[in-house]
Amino acid sequence: MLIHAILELFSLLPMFYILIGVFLGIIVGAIPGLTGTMLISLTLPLTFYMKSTNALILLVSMYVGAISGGLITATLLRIPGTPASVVTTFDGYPMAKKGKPGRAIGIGITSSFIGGMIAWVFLVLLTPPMARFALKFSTFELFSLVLMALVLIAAVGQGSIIRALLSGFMGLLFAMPGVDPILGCMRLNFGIDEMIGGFSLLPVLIGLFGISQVINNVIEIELKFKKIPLTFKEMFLSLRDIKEKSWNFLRSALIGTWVGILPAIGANIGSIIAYWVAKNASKNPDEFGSGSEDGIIASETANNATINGAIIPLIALGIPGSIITAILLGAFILHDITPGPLLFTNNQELVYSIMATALIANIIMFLMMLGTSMTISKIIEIPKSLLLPVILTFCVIGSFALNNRIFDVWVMFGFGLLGFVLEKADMPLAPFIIGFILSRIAEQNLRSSLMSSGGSIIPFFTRPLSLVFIIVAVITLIWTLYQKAKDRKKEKSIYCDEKK
Amino acid sequence: MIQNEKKSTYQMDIIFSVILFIVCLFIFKESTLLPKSTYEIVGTSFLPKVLSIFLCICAVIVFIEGLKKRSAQLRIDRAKESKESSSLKPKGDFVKRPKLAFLVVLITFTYISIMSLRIIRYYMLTPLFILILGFLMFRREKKGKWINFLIVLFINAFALGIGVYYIFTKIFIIDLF
Repeated sequence: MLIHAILELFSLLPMFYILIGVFLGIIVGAIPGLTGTMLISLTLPLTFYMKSTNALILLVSMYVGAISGGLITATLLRIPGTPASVVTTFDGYPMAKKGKPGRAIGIGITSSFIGGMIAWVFLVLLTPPMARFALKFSTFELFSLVLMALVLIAAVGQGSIIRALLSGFMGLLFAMPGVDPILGCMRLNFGIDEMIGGFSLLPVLIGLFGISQVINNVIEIELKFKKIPLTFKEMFLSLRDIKEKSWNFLRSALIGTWVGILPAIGANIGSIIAYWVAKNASKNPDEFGSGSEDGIIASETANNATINGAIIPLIALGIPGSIITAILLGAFILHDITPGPLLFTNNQELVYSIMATALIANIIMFLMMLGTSMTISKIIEIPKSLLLPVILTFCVIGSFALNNRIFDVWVMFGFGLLGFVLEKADMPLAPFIIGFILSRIAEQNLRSSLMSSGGSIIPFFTRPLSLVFIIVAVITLIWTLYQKAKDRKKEKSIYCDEKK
Repeated sequence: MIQNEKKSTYQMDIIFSVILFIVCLFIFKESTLLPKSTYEIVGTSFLPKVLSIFLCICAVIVFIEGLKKRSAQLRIDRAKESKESSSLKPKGDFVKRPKLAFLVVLITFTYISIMSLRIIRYYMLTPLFILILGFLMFRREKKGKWINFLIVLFINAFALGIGVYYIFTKIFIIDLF
């Protein structure tokens, strides 16, 4: 059945949709301020007139392209094209600055491909048992999981853990306005009608990562990027390279797939956790954040693995594993397909088409990225005075197009300024945005848990899975604080020695 | 080094923490006004309140860090008393081109304001916006020749302005005015 579905994709129309989907995904993913979420949301109405299978082929291809395309600007400009590539900026950009942009992009592309392929095997073979396991998660486990993710994000950061936590808490707080997720009543909208729905994710993302980066670029307008030739040959990894890093590839892919399966936790969390694990497992953890190959591998392998991981609960349970799969869920409903466990029996052709698309789109993404990265990377040579106004225009139009309202543009602008100030105050942006994304899930699950337990927090510690997540969070927090205190002590003694 | 280039300045820490503290107090106060649930134990105001308190604590810590940085900076300044560094100016690289950055923010603000007021049509406003920003930035960037830059900038501004307008209004059916 799967082989038949793969062969079906080689006919004219499905192949055209895959090619156009992956291509548009890569371009949109690479353009800062535009995301796969926006592309897929904007394409959704256009698929009304298409066959449901073709519509999903196009949307899944866009998803694969968009998650992968983000690494180009993340590496060359330190502007993550998509939230999934935020972590890639940690090492991709420093490595490019060190004069190895081709190598950095090559590692990113290969990692994306390998991550996608490994996760695809899980998508095909392990969907039923893994979906059954994810079903065991109650609200207690989900809240503990979000808590663990937030602590991990704060721990991943280079600077002060207090500032990282502050950034994460701010993200959580800024997601509070709008409709209460349990009661459905209005909350913290300060009498502004447009605030009824709260702050939309896309303007917040564009503002934080687009506008603040534009301001930073303007400040350093005289700083010239070194013209480092990005050669085609440089982008290929040798088999020895792949062999040497095989454990990192496999581990990151497994983390990415696992995180993808977990409901509503997307590629960004997958790459953060994989990065954190790789950093702690590395013999040279100090290299992380300053151009480490392992850092790029962990981030890119995991974020592409989350794509197929996120599709698993989508097709098996009807639960989105990420924001984009939530939109894909909308596509199912628009095309009169009932998502859920019955999808396997009622729409087998569609399920296998999605699986086959995930495979073929990944292979096409790999070839297309290798072929077009050099062209896309030319944006680094374009004068900033040409590029930055265009990025600003895209930021404005991208925010506006989401809901067709100017309020979102103001939100984007406001969050852009906030992002700039946060960075200047040494507050990392990643915890903010992750906190913002996870806020609703955290609150919903916490309150539902407390409602079911009659206000007792004991079940969080008595349920094995929930306890594991909490223990991991606590150990991570204590370990990071201990490490930071140790580093500070070391710095202090060096400073005292210098003084003597 | 107590304060290197990457670290935030003490002024930034102090101002940021004070503003954050005030904002969080305001949100906490607003949260207390939210209706209480009859069947839920924690209610709709629980998380905003908890987060406001956490943030207030974090703001106090950042404020104390800022004060510590300030006294450390003062000690360094006193040590170098004969030099011009005795002033309280921060040594970080907060803004290298503050005027240009401010202008870009101001022009973007004006662009969005005009867009929201619908005074000028999008396909005219956007090229104008790109042209003004392009001119301003090129003066500072000084990369390449003026004439080449001008040609590319004009083409870029009009192609993008009209292209985006066409795609969004005709294909995505979005009202851009």
